[in-house]
Amino acid sequence: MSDPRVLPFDTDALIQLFLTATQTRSLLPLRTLRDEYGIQPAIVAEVEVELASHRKYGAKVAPEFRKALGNGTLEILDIGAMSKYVPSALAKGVFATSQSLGRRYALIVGRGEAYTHAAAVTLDVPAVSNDVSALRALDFHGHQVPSPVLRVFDLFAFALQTGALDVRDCDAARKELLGRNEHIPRAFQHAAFIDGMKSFCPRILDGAKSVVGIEPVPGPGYMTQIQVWKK
Amino acid sequence: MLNAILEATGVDAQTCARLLGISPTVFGEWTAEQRNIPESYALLLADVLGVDPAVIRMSSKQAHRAGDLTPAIWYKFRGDELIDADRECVLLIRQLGHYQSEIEEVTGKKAVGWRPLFEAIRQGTDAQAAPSEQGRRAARMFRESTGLSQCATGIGEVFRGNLRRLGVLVIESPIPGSRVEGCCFYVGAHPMERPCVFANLYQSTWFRRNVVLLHEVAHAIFDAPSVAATLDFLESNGTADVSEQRAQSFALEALLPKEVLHNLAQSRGIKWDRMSPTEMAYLVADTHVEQRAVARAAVAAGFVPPEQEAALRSLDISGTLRSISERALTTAEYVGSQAPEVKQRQMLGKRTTTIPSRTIRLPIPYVRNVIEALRDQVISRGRAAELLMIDDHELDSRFRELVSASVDE
Repeated sequence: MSDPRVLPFDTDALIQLFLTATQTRSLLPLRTLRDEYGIQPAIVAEVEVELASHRKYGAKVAPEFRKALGNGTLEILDIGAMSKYVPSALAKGVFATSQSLGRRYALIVGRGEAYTHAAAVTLDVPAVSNDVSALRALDFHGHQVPSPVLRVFDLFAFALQTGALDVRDCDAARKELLGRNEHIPRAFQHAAFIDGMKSFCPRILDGAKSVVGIEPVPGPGYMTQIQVWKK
Repeated sequence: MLNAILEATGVDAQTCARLLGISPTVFGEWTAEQRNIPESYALLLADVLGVDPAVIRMSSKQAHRAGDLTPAIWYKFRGDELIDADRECVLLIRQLGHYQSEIEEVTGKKAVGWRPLFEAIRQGTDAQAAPSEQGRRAARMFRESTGLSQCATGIGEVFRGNLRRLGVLVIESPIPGSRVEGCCFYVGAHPMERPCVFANLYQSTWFRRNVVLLHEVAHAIFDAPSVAATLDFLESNGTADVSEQRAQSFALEALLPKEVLHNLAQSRGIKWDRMSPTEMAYLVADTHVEQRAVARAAVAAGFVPPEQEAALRSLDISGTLRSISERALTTAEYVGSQAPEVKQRQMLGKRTTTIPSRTIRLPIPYVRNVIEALRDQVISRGRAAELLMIDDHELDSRFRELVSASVDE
């Protein structure tokens, strides 16, 4: 698989990233993906609405969200943006396909995750989402899901591997999420970040650097591990 | 265009945003046409407001006659007798109707039995007959077609389930301060619309609501398809109106046919001309119908002369009724009194919405469908929260045992 050029994020994953923006030096993992690997973090319009409407964290993450949109760390995946990732003559049709798929997915999973996964499947790129129940439900109905689907901790592990963040940053982010009763992978629930990595298999790695975490085991497509290379 | 449609509904943009759990700022940008409405939200708004999705996304420059596009239902809900809470509740119920159709589609449990049944009842009713006779005849057909005619006692415990199996949306939720006792309208996008009957729980009894709900069913059969919505207010007579007379007669006959009333009275050894308060309490408990309806049915059946109806209605049965029927308890008392394994008890405190600025109590079968779909991995955790109109954290705390495995390990 060639390096993806865009990476759609689901609402829950994005909220976790914004909640840990201080610990991750203002979303350094996302900026690293964009600036060094040419992978543009993006959201669909539904996620933008969900984020702004989020009762618990909407107001809290709003400044960081505006900043990320303003400086291009994040982009809205509309027809215009789509034309950067497919031939511009096809952009309208690809966007319509993505919307149509999103409509079908939205019967099964939440609006944000439906249109996020639909966009990722249509563009054949990974997505970022923590909710495995959405993937299982889509799979139950025979729908295609993105491959792989990254978790927020995959981005932390990636940032650690690439040197964008150090172990203290990653552990501070872990503690921040735990302190807010956010769901985090079991490997990190009772272990410091560096210890958790001993039983965690990251789904995105820099192919040119030493591997972190454990070896991948056979599993569904959304658990696939991909390697990316600097531009 | 959205703004023009909202004006016609009588629900302002900020309120609509808060009811649907959408940021008022974002919603304001939609109504000001500063930002496109994402497709999924356009579909939801279209269903809730009752217009075509294309109309929702139309700019005000493209459409000159917003009034022509305003669904009739909202004209009905702009009357002086209605308060903001009524309109807001209707909007939420329409959202629930949208979700109900979606969960049925995804679980393959689409119920459309109401359509042929209602059509058969309309066809089998002589429109030239007296309204009360139309109602009685329709009620007999309704009882026969739904298996309720087999019941030798009250049908209050079973008719809600029968209606839901037919695909009718049955909602009982409190609207404090409202004068609306019941209403009926259709929800969902054409041609997949379904009838919804609503009874206001506020300061109402279960026995009264049985009458109200079946009264609304009659409106759903005969009136709502053509007039968009019907409304019934507390302490209104409304008997001069053909549709009201027919609905009243339908409810009474559906709940309390002459033979059932006769059998129940006979089995209790009740003498109609010297009925005691205790005997009346037992009749109410057995028939599942409020006291004044029992008195009216007794007169209609010829068991007592009309001049005795007032005496029957004034018998003091409240104390006795509470001691012999758990249905005389409040909803919370009743559900709390059930055994822990009873499904209704398991749903205690888990049916109230938290996302909309005004709460409604969701029907137990609907909540159960959503939770079963989540448990069976047919829908995701986020979708279950959306359908129950609560946030993810609330879903976790209400149904912890089902959502523990939703995090990707």
